Amino acid sequence: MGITHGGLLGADFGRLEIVAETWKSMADTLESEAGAVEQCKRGDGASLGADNWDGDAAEAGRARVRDLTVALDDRAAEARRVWAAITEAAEEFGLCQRELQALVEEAPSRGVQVAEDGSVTTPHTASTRQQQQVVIVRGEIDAVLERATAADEALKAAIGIWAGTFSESERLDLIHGAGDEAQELHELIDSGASPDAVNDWWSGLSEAERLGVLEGSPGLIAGLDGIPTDTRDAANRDLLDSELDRFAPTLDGDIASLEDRIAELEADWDEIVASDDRERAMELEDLQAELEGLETQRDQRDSLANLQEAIAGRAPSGQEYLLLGYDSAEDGKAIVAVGNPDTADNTAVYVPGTGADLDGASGTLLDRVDAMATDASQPAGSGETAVVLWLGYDAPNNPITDSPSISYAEDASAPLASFMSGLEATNHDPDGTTTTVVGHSYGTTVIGQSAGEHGLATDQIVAVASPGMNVDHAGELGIDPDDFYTTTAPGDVINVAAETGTHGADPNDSGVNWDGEHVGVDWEGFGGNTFTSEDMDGNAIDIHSNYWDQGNIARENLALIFTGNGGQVE
Amino acid sequence: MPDDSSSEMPELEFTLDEAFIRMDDAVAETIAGLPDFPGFHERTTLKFECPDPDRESYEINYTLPESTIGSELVTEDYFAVLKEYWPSLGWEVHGEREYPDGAMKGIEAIRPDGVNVWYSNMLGQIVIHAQVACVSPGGGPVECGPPLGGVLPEDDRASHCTVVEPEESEDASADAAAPFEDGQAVVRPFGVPVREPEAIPVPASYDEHL
Repeated sequence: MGITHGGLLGADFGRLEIVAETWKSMADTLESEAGAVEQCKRGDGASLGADNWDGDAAEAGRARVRDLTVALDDRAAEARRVWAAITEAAEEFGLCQRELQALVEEAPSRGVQVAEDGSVTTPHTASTRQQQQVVIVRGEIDAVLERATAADEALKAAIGIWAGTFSESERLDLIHGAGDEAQELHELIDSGASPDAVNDWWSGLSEAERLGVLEGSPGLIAGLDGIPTDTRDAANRDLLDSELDRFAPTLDGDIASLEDRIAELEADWDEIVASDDRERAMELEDLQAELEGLETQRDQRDSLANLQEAIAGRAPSGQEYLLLGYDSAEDGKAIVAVGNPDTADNTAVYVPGTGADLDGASGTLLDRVDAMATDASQPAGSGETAVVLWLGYDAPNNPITDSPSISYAEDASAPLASFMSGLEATNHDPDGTTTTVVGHSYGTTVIGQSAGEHGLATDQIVAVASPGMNVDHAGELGIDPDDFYTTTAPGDVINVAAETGTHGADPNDSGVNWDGEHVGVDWEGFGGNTFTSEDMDGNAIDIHSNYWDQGNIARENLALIFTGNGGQVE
Repeated sequence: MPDDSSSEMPELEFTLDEAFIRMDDAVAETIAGLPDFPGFHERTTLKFECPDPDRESYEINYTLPESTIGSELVTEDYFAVLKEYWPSLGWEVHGEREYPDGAMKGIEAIRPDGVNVWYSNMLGQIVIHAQVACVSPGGGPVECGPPLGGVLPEDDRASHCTVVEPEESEDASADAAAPFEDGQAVVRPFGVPVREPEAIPVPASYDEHL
């Protein structure tokens, strides 16, 4: 049933706004408490830390605290979504109310009157023009009421899902109500629709339909470029929760039992061999294979649990974490944003290099992203910078045997280009936002391959410690060479790789020796800008990872570039 | 060019347990020497990897208020003051840099205990960083004091240490424990049930519940 004329005009939305603020306070409190609970086990010295409590019970206790932290964080996110939904609805209601009020007040000047019940009438001796105005005004009023009704339905769906007020049948109704849309989305994906097309389609849905797709088919949208970041985050967190739930709760115990039995058999191994006990020998082999499988499961579970825990709460910069994608298969993949790139003033997308994996996404790589986001908040007038860890590809594992291959970059090329196009499609102001793609080591090769092959929707490209970008000039990256920045610290071991020319010209080279020889007049250097980074007194290998160390001027320079102050880099 | 051997990590005289207290202390000492100090707007913390996997590096960043951006006091005068003041405390000024147009400028000094303080001008915005490099884990809780310079609780983003209040009053705890005491009303603008959330009893500390 729709909202009536009298209902809209007479409604008081002040209380609704107060309720919204209470939900926001609730979210803040839950988030803060999640941090407080988490502190109980963080670090060696914490009450439940490893130094103070050891053993199986301690592990179980810490796991419980972890679950509690994640649960509190999830509830905080839901409360925040309720706040956002109510705030949005209150704004739309208020706007509709004011427009309706204006229509009523202006009606006499248009030769018609609007009664309290919303009916539009004319004097007894109405002219043709006045009769036409009755129809027009009636249509305008109906349009306002329809908008208010749509906002009301969207609010109902959002409250139902995020505040958990829906019964199971209501939830299913919402999902079934969006069944056609989910099918359409399937077809859109199968047709190879661009992120732009996906975003256009998504924008055309009602809020209830979007929530229905999110609730019923999170797997469809979790990794889909062109879907807004906050929606992808909700879908991915939902999937991550479900995936963690699928691991057997007895997994650790099962592994311990297997290890005990294997130890027994191994202790008896001489006797097994001497007595030619094939049955026990076979049992040992089977158990070892079974153990290997369970250990793989445990590693996957732990990596996912660490990721989930790492993105609970707020980043050190005070920004929210958003999960735009993950995959636990093999080394794992993860796309994590610090700050929402759809609404931030600047966005930097960090593509890590050799050795990057799911564990890094909750460890060192995330620390770097945290540091870049914090650093980028510091230049005066910089606005908010969202920094995204894009580990949406299988990075090489071994710098000697894997990294010389271009195949990893070739495989990553299309996904990175699609991701960047997706960010552009979902951005609130793509023309006004400064977007930068920054790669480290092999990550720069990925960027070069992707930019050269597909083009990247970015304003700037930064190469840190690049072994080569599979192009010979910054102009081949699809951006103005003046918007290309590169650095390699003196003494970095990557210089050796860059000099071989395996992945093309050395981006830091000025025109000679990129392939180990003078190249003469045909090549005048890679182009673009270089900026300073320091070796931090490390050895050749450590220097390669030192760019995000405290005090390295590279961090300051990156912050300047990300915030559109590249002209200031040293 | 550095050699290929592993970097030697200098041993600090303190562990992670004390690191944040010491970093805050170094900042407090620094601002004590700054005349007409305007206070801070925000505190953040960061963690960094260390070549020694058993150790980590940490940083506290204090941002000055927006109202000070570009002011001569903080972007010029304080640099001159610190250049004299830090050595008077026995600290070693070991880094000074200024970009050609002066929009980016930094000066840093290391305290005898190894805490590094870096006063940085980022296009007019001043940030004071306190840093410890590759600190070993301790055994006790990783605590930090309340933020310095009037940082409001909502602008304190110390996420790598537990903030310990020197003296926490009963009244303050009680206020924090019942933020939603009155909020149970139901609002139905158009029949949509929009209810305020249930009150959450929040303890002052979870340690006592363990």
